[in-house]
Amino acid sequence: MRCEAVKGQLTAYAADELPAEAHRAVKAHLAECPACRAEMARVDVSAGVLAGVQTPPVPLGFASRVLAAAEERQRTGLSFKQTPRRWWRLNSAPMRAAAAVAAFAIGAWGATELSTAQQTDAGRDDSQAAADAVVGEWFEAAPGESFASRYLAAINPGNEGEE
Amino acid sequence: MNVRSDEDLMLAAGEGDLLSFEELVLRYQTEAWRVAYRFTGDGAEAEDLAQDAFLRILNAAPRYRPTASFRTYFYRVLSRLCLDHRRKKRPILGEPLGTVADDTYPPPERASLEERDRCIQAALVNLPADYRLAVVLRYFEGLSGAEMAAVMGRSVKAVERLLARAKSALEPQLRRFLDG
Repeated sequence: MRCEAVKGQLTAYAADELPAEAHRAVKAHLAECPACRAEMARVDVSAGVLAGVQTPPVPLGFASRVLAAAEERQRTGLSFKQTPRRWWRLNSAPMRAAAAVAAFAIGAWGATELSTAQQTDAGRDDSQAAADAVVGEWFEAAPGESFASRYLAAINPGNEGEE
Repeated sequence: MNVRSDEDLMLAAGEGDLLSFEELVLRYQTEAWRVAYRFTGDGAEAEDLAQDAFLRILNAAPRYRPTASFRTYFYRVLSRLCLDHRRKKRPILGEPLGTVADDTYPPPERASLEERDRCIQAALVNLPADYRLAVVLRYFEGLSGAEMAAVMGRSVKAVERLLARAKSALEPQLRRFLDG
């Protein structure tokens, strides 16, 4: 679009009176033409200055990451939830501290349970076997091909392939 | 080749068609990124926000009815997320990603253009959230007053008043960047 044509439309552009296609054409020209931007700024400072600002390109792989997240949610059947990283970034320091304390408490409770399992399994002092005592009870009825059954197969090599 | 409309793609996505959803992402990723980046001023936050918008749209797809254009619906979801983001967290001006390399300018001028863009972005981020959103939708997305009204859920007159107040707040900081 030529500068002479654009300059005649700047007032209408600023007043949002151009048809959509003409508006887009003027906007595209202003992005490329400092002289017309200067003219635009005499009519509308914001339109003139902001037309020259270049936005960085979309991050590489953005669409793939969105699709991967969508596929994961479809696979797990989860509806939209805030990602852990975003939760961490968005919440205040006291909230994050409370979450860290809660995570530590849960971890400490788990370690206590494991220690108890070790003490009651008098026949074996193998810590892996003690973990089995805790985990196996929970995953006993796990369906085949689940994470749980594969985990059990890994820790009990003699039982690989059994469900 | 028959190009499917955004509304048809959205209806298909609502039936579990992720290929249609992917097509919508490809069509609107630039707009999503640009709005999110200009609103937050931070690349990582912008990517999270833009991704959230698409996932929310996908979540709502089974209930989507094309009473308004998909474009309006898309900007409405994105705008609400921007305003929610501001309510939950004070926006930070993180490390900007840098500006688009423009080889028509020699390096010293390119550096000064980048600095100029950084200062303009800082002025934008310092605006109240609704002013900032109005400026982004009008001057970066090119939405008309009627489109902004549909997106923001306000009357056209209310949008015009909002934009006028936003410009009054922003322009004193922009005048030093006038070209020429």
